[in-house]
Formats: sequence, structure tokens, C-alpha cells
Amino acid sequence: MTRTRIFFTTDLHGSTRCFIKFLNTPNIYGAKVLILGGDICGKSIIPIIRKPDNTWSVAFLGKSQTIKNSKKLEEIKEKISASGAYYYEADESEWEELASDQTKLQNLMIKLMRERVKEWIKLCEERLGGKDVKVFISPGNDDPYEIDDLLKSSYDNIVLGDGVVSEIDDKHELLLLGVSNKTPWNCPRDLEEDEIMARIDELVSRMKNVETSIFSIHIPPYGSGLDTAPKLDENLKPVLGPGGAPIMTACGSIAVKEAIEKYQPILGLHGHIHESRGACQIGKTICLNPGSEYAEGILRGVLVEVEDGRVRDYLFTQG
Amino acid sequence: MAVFPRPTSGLVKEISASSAIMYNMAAMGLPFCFIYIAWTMILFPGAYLPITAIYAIILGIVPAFVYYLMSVSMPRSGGDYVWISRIIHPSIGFMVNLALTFALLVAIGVEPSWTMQWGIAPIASTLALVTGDNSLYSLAELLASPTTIQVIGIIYFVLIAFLITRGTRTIMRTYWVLFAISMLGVLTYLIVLATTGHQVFIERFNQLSGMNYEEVLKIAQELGYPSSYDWGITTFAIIYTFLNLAGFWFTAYIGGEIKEVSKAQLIAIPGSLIALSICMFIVYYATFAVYDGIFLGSLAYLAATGHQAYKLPFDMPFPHFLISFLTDNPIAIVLVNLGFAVTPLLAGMTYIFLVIRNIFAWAFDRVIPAMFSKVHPETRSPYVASILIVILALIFQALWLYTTVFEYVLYITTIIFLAIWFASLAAIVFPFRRKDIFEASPEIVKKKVGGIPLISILGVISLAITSFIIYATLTPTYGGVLDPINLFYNMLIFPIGLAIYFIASLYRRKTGLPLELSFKEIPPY
Repeated sequence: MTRTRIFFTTDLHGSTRCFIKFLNTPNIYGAKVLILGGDICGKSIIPIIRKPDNTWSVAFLGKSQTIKNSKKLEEIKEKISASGAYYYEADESEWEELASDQTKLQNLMIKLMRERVKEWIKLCEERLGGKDVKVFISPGNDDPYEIDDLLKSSYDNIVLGDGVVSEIDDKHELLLLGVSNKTPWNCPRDLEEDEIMARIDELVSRMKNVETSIFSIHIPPYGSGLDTAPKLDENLKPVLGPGGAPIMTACGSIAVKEAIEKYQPILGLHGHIHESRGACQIGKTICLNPGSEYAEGILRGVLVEVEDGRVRDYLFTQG
Repeated sequence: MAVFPRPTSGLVKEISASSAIMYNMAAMGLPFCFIYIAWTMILFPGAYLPITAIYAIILGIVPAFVYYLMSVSMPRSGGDYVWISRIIHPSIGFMVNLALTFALLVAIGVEPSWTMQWGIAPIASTLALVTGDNSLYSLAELLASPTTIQVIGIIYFVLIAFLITRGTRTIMRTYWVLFAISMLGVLTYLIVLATTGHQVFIERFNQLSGMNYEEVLKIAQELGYPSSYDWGITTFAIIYTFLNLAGFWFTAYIGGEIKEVSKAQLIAIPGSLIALSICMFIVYYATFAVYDGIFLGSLAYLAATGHQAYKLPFDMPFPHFLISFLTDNPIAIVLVNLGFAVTPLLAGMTYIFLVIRNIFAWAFDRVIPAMFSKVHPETRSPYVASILIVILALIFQALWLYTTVFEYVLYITTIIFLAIWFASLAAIVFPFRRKDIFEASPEIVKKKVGGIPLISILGVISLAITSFIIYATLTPTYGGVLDPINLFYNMLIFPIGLAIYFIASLYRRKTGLPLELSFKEIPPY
């Protein structure tokens, strides 16, 4: 009998606080397999402006504040990192120059993302490298390709990358794919539906037994209830219904839905739509989306026990 | 200095700070004080109620800050369910949350009755009083009949079920509309009182009521009702004022849906307590100044004892009914009574919003079957939990209308305040039992006074205050009688909660992942 406890989380968006919690889950939940299913990079840069009088000013969480000593400066940097954002220390003129040049700003963003990914990989290796735990980390559609060269580890038990097939135990294989269908934001790993299907088909062809496998695909299956988000207009604002409520719409991937129907893995692990936390069943496949509340420092996840080619049980967590 | 965001998707939180404070105030329902004024003046003869609103702020502010700080430390939907589960034990968290849910379900079943009997029907009877049109009394009787109430209740619960499918923003907008009507009623009431006065009231009362102001006072005094205010009794009369504040912490249960939760909960929890207490003080003060508290108490006393001298066309002389002795203006009369009428409906809707989320959370945590956490694929509304609540509400309503079963749940107020008691207990031990979460909390939560964590100090004070409130709800004065059998039935909900949790826990341990894992907190270092 092969029974394995998996902890799956997703969409941490740069939150170091959540990532550290993720690394602590083997001790808390007894998980032997840890999966981080994409969208690991943050979404914003918070400038910390150096003033001539040796103070700093920063606007964070809607509050402008002046920082007068280096201890407080470190505290605010930690809080920014914990929330998933990046901080950048600069004097006023440097920041103004950066802010007026989109290319420079994009380059800075990539640089900061790379630094955080490096920092996370180092943390992961220090804490879990060589241990009796397998860790799988995939980028998601929001994550730029510029981080991919960093996604390697010197430990066999830490698997990083997009488009991976790997054994989690002697009965179950994992397909790890960090893509999405086309989004209004034209994110780096947004693909056409047929391209997604082709990638899944190619990964499945590398598997020994897809029937006992687990798919960790960032985008949820279309119309599954795990993919419901506000419908957006051309200005990316929510479309409101007659009562003023946002009109909700399914925005998952048809290719993922068809792939799950076709291959019937035992488990589908998804993210992408933070507010669509839930579970559903497609044929014999149980699909789960734990949602995300990374900005609050809350690690939303789901524990799953798989046993001899079936899902024995699952339990949503928030810690 | 701009923040540079890059284009990505994100979670939309739908409840703003202003909606959060409105939500708590709607749950408390300011116009309910019209009912509590009359009841208090019967049970606590000679109480001077305006003072109790001041006492309420003093007593309520500490529990309010306990809830605020705990909400900031663990900003999730579920409120005390989350932190009692993590700090004390999940079984206790579930037990307390189930008890609160039960108490709110009982209240939900009663709300349409309050609306019809004390809001809509009195529009007809008060208009009858000023117009002399006796046919309006028959209409009032029809509007307050159990059949009408049940029909209205069914329509109300079905409408709520529909609203739930429209999403949180639509629900909040509906709350705002009803809240505005409710507050407009109170404002109209205050304007009428401010523009008329005590003499007008006496003259019109003597003219229209078939009773005499001085006679009422005289008869009541002969029966033992006091002729002046009693400050000792006033201290104990705080109970109903405090009952009117039940709900100031309800946004703690929906913390996961609130934008900028730290700021919003400060505004919503202590803010709503202070705002509602101040409003209550104004209503009490105006009511006592214009009607005279002793007269109001005397009149209510005659009504409650069924004295033949009481001739008003209402079972109880609630202050909003007496508006007809101050003005003939039908718009003012309708607005005041309508303002009251929407209040139970609005409060009931806030309870339903909360109760559905509780049931959803239990199902997500697998304490009850996972089917109750099913959401509609398009609207994301928890439709299975919603259907369950609507069915339960209709059953509770029928029990209230056609049976005497609700006599057994006399002590739901005790249950509600026991929830705060357990939350206070959790606050006391929080820094010691869950050092990891405490140390990772925002600075405001970690403050210490004389080396002792502030949250523990506030927890001790809150525990003492809620112990007093619980004791007071168990005194014969509060309910008119202390009924140990009914008290026993009420308290059964606590062991039932424990039993459900442990059965679920044993079952899950045998068949899958232990329940306790979902309540574990993970250190962020």
C-alpha cells in the first residue's frame, strides 16, 4: 500500500511570509510532497525614497510614512516582502527617472523578481534540501520567462520548472504545468487553448500511467466552478449587473477541461483564480483550487492523501 | 511617489469600511430600542435609560477591542470560530459557533413577526387613531395575523435566497437601502419629538387616547410603580441596552471579505458600538424628555398587567406607536413605523449572511458534510447552505407562530454573550498558548502594559464584563422569570456542538485526514 500526503498551494505572488509557511508545512501537516502551483512572482514595486535628511518616506498599504531609523527601515522592508511586493530604495530623482521610463521600470521589476526567486530557492534548499520530502515548484502564467534559468536545484528532492513530469512515489506521477489560456493582461505564459492541449499531450506521453497520475496545471478547467471570476470590460473593470453586482463568468481553460475528461487523472490541482476556492469532480477526477490570500500573509492550501491510485481524502487549510 | 503595479489578475474584496460599520449597525438595529424601552421600563421600574447608553459604551468598548485585535491578528472569515479553534481547541470553536448560529437562526425565524406586528400593522392602527377611521383597526388585525406573517415570511426568505445568488455587492446595496429607511424612520421620530414637546404630548394623549395622562401615573403608582427615577435600578437596566448592541462584532465573522481589514474592523467593531450607543442615547433622551420616562413606564406597566385603565389600540405602548399623540402627519407616522418595520428584516438578513458563511466554513473544514460548501459555478453563492438556511428559517418561523416551542429558547441572549465570553477567554491565553501567531501579529496586537500583553488584559476585563451580562440575563428580572428547565434546553446546544465535532473528528480520523489539521497555524519564520 502506497499512501502519500500532499500539500498543494498556489499563487503566492512574491509573499515571502507565505513561502516560508509553505516550507514549514511538512512539520505542521506531515506532508511528504509539497507542490507550489504557479504565480510565484510579485505584482508591484514599493519605492522607499531616501531623503537628504537621512530619513526615508514610503507609501505602503494606503499609508504614507516617514522612517527615521534603519531598524524601522528593515521592518518596513520585511513587511513589504511579506505582502508579496518588492521594495526599491532610491533617492527622489532616481525614482522619478525610473518611473518615467517603462523599459527601465520593467527591467527593474525583472531584476527584483529574480532576486526574490533566488532567495526562495536558497531558503528551500537550506530547509528542505536532502530531506525526506519532495518539493515541486512551478511558475504560473504571471511569471516571466526571465526567471526560468534560475529554476534548478542541486537537490534531487527539489524539482523546479514549467512542464515537468515526475514521480511523487512509486504509484503516482505528477504533471506540473504553469500556463493559462489567454487573459486580458497578456501575461507571459498565456497560451492559446490548442497550445495548452499540445503541451499536456506531450507531457502525458512521457508518463508511465496517466490513470494514477496527478495534474498540477495552473489554470483550472473551464466551467468547473474553480474558475469563476468577475467579467471585465475593455478597460479591465468589472462589468456590473443590474443590481450593481459584478457579473461572474467562467474563465478556465477548455483544453484543461478536455484533457482531464480525456486522461482522467486521479487529481487536478489548480489555482489562478484566487476567489474560486473549492472542489469539483470531472468524471473520476477530483479537481481542487485552494484559492489565495497571499496579500494578507495567509497560506491557503489543500492537503490531499493519495493511496494506490485513488484520492483517499482532501482537506482545505488556511494557516 | 507612485507604486509600480504590473498588470495581473487579483482577488476582489467587496465589503468596504463604510459597508462594514453599516453591517454591524444593521445587525444591532437601532429602532429595536423602541421595543426595549417599554420592556425595560416594566422590568426595571424607574430606570433612567439615557444613562444606560453611556454605561453601554464603557462596558462594550473592551469586548469590542478584543474582537478588533483578534480580527487583526487573524483576519479571516469565521471570527471567533477561527481564533477559539486555534487558541483553545477546534471543538470549542465549533461549539461556540454552532451555539451562536442556533441563536441567530431562532432570531431569524422571529423577524417577520416583529416587522408585521410592531412595524406594518401599527401604521394602520396609529393612522386609525388620528383619523378616527375604525376600518383601519381591522386592517391592522389582518396584517398582524399569523397567516399574513407566514406569507410575508415566505416571500421574505425566498427574496433573501434570490439576493444571495446575486452576490455580496448586491446584498450590501440592499442592506444600505433598508438601513437608510430604518435610519430615516428614527430621524423622523426625533424631528417630530423635537418640534412638538412634552405639553403637546399630554394634550393630544388626553384628547385621542380615551385615557388621562395624570390618571395613568396615579393608577400605576397605586399599583406600586415608582414616581421618580431610581439610579440603582438604572445600573441593572443596562441589560436591554446591551442587548440592543448584540451585533457590534459581527463583521469579525466576515473578515475575509472586507477590504483593508485592519482599518475597516477598527471602524466597524468599536466604531459601530460607539455610534449605535450615541444614537441610542439621543433616542432615549428625546423619548424620556417628551413622553417622560416614568409616564412611559407607567403606561407600559398598565399594558403588561392587563389593567382595564389601559385603552390604547396596541398591546404595548412602544414609543414609535405613540408618535400619533404628537402629530397628525400621516407621512411622519408611516416613516417612523416603516423605519421600524424594515429593521427586523434587515437584521435578519445580516444574520442570514453570517449564518450561511458559518455553515459554509464548517463544511469547508469538513466538520459537516462537504456538500454544504458547494457554490454555484457562475455566482459563487453557497447555494446548498443557503437552501438549508431558508428551510430552517421557515421551520423556525412556523414554530414561533403556531407553537409555544420558542418559550424553550428564552435564553438565546445568554448564548450570544457566551460566545463573547469564550472569545475573551481565548484572548487572555492567546499570547501564551499561541506564541507563534501572537509574535507574528501586527504591532498593535503585540502591545504590552507593564510587561503583560494588552490583549490578555483586555481579555480579562471583557471576561468579567460578559460574565456580568450573562449573569444578568439569567436573573428573574431579565426574563420575568428564571426557568431552569428552559435554561437547560438552551444550554444543550453546547454539548450538542461538542458531540458533533467529536463524532466528525473520529469519523475523519478513521477515514481520512484528521480534522484538526485544518485548524493548524503555520509559523511564518
